[in-house]
Amino acid sequence: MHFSRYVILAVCLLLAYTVHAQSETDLLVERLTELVAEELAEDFDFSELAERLDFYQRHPIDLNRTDGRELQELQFIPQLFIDNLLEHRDRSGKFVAIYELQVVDGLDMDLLQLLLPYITIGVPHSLTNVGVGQLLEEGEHDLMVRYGRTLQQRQGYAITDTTRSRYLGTPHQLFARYRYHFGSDLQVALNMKKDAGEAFFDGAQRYGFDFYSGSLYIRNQGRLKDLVVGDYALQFGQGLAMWNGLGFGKGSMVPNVAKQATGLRPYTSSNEVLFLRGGAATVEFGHFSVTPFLSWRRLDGSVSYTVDSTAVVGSIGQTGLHRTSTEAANRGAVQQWVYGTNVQYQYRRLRVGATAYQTRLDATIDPQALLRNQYAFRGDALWNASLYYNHSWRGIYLFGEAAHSLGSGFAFANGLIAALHPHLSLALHYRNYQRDYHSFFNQGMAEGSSSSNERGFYSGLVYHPSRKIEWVGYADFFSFPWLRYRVDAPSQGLDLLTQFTYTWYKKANVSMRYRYRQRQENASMELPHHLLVDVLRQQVRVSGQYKLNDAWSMRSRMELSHYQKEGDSTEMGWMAYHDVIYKPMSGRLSGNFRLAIFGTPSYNSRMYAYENDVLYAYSFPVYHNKGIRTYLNLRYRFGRKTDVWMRYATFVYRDVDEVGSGLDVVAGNRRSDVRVQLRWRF
Amino acid sequence: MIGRCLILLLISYDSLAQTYLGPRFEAMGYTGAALQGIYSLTANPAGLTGIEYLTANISYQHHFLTTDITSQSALLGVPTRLGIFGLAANRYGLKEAYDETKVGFSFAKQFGTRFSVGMSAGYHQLFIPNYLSVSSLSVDMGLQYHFERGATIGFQYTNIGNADYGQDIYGIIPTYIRIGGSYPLAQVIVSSDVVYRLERSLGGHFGIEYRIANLVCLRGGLSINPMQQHAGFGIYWQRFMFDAAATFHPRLGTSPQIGLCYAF
Repeated sequence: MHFSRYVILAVCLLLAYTVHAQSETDLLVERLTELVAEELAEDFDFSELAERLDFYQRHPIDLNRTDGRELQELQFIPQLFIDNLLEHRDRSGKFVAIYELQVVDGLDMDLLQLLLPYITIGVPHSLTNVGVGQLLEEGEHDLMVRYGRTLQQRQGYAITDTTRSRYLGTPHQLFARYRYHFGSDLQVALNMKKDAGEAFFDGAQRYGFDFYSGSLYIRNQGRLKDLVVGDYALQFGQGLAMWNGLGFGKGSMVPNVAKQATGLRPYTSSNEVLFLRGGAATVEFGHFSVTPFLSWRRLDGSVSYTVDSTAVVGSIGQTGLHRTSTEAANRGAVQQWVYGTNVQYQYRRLRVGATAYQTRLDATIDPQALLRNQYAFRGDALWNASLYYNHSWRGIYLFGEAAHSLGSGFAFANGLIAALHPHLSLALHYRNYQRDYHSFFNQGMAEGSSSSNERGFYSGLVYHPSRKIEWVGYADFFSFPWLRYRVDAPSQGLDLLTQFTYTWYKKANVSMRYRYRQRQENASMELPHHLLVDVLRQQVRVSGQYKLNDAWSMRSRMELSHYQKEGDSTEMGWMAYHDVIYKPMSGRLSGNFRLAIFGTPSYNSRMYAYENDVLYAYSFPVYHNKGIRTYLNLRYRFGRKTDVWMRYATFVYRDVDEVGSGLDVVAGNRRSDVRVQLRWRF
Repeated sequence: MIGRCLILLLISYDSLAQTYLGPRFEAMGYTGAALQGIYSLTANPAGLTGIEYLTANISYQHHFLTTDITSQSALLGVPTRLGIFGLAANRYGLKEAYDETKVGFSFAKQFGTRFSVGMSAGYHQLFIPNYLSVSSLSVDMGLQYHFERGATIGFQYTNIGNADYGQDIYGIIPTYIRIGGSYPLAQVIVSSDVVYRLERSLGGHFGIEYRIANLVCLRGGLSINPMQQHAGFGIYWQRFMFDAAATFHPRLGTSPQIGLCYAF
């Protein structure tokens, strides 16, 4: 039995080396992000994960050198396996060949296949003896410029009356990105972005782009594990107190309910909120590592002054858009200082950490005096402290965090992932976030928008009897002890998901999903009293992909969405799409194409679908109304150094006179976008 | 207080009384059609064939909302050459206000290594002081088929004749059909039931049991329609088995149950 397992593994190792698993990466990214994406803005930049995966594909992680953190960054490797791998290395000495992986517990062939492009066995090196000349000569430069725009004119550009709200800039989107890598331990990153509607070298954006972000990152230099000067992201524990950048949670990857914190990382995404700016470093002292951090940023907000000239702001802007005169006036109006320290202790499979930091603003936050805001944060300074742990022991991974906002509430999250059987794993997660718990940087697993005012218990199972079959299911029961937006009473709900996937090795897979969600909301009808009613959403999805040959593959999906709210009419929406992907092993041209048709009676039965885009970019746009969606992405390689991407995407709706809302309205029934991206590596 | 409890008991009757199951089955998401053991006396009588020794059990349950609504049960399984005989007594109610008692006699027999059949006859009594006292008789039957690797499918028809207390009486004797499957994976048993109730509602149940070193069992489960979570554990010590379980209803709250078995 064991022998045959090893033989199969060895064969897979050989095969996997030869296959570039692009579509697997797509699937992986989609599985990790799709449920999170539904809660985020449509133009959210997910490139951080894709860029990281791409980076580790070009600079594979040295299994003999890693302390596990790089492996955590990949986000799809269970901590239990990482711990097993490190323990194996401690016990048996350094890996001589990648083939040794097959004796590490917890490795199945799917994980192996996903993992192989990102790992290697190499020799250690350091930056100590590297001269400036060598840095310039041997480093890799990567410059990428992206241009995009909506072809139709949005209403915000047509308004000429200067007293009305309108877009002050042009409809062009510009994004420039520069990376410099020396090996995998030194990186310089620079991002510049202008959103559609924002001015360029004019008005509020007189220095050119609306958003600049840069960082210098050095790591693995003796005691100094990480150092970032510039923009950075911190992720500790389960994200209750401090978590920047992209976080994952519920989804069809059940073990991902245990968040894998990456500690200190440079911030390289183009999202304009949720990061820190300044400096931070992680220094290691034996089993301890200490991460002091300091940040100063300007945030958006509509500042007003009270009679005693105190600056007051209702809320902090979260969109990063500065297109109208109001948005431009709010741009950078609030200053934020953050400083604090994290200390982490790691001994074998146990990690325990503590974080404390203060957030200080130069304006007092004072949300509207509504009942639902009764426990919201008010003030201009907040201390947060948290304790967290994780430990793996004989197939069981335990994790948790307790966080406190000084002077107000607590938040707790605890869970476990257990391999009950080689084919069956269980995930449990309990969360209790008090209504008066506050943090500016929390992203704990939650059904609501932040880890506050919520209690919930999640249980999930993964059954993987063979490499062909995977069944996942989870149930999440949650309640909100206090009022929320559009929910005028304490409320509760649940979320169930079950998905069955059948895979023909390297050829095709088909998966079926059913998701049931129930929540409470204010009744739509006018009533003399406040009444909550149940809102039910159900989703049925069948999707599959098929590899025709080394160059061509297909992907299809059919989806039904059912929406029911007491007192309102029931809705049923549907969608079907077909993708054609052309990606030859060699050759200069590659691309993909989608044709989708959809019909939903209203926004309530909307659907989200993963879309490919130009390199690093991907999105989950909303499909609603009746119509057709189609896009074409093309990539052409000019030699080894230069690549060009082009994208054309359009929505054509039926029976509508305008698309969008507010200043974004486009006359007619069509909205089309083009994008051109150029990358030069030298 | 008693009056309020009585109202609560009556309005929540559907989700309470009809599905009394022993603590092990309760913790496993109210599954039981394809499970075996002494608690099969509260589920599929065919599962009684899993008993090897004379086994006695007592259980006690507090129901949702208040500690005043309780269930008590006593079970006895007697393996003989003919087959396995079972006796079950169960009381559900509110002290001095509402009392429902069921006494059942069961017989189960295994045919070959694969197939087992069970039958139960039950005497039901509903007693509400100063108001009524009625009784009725019901019959249940069950089948189980065991596959080679330990997987089992079960079928259970409870209250075959659709017996009741009479038309004017609120109390019901539930009638339902359950089809279930269970599958062992080393120390794990996964179990799932679908139940069809006579009032034309369909429910789903899912449960899992994880055994650690023949000493402790951890259990969990989920019921759909009504939506409830379940959890529990069992401790095995010599001839004793102690089981604890709890059902968590998102609105009604928690109902815990404990049970103690002794195998002679």
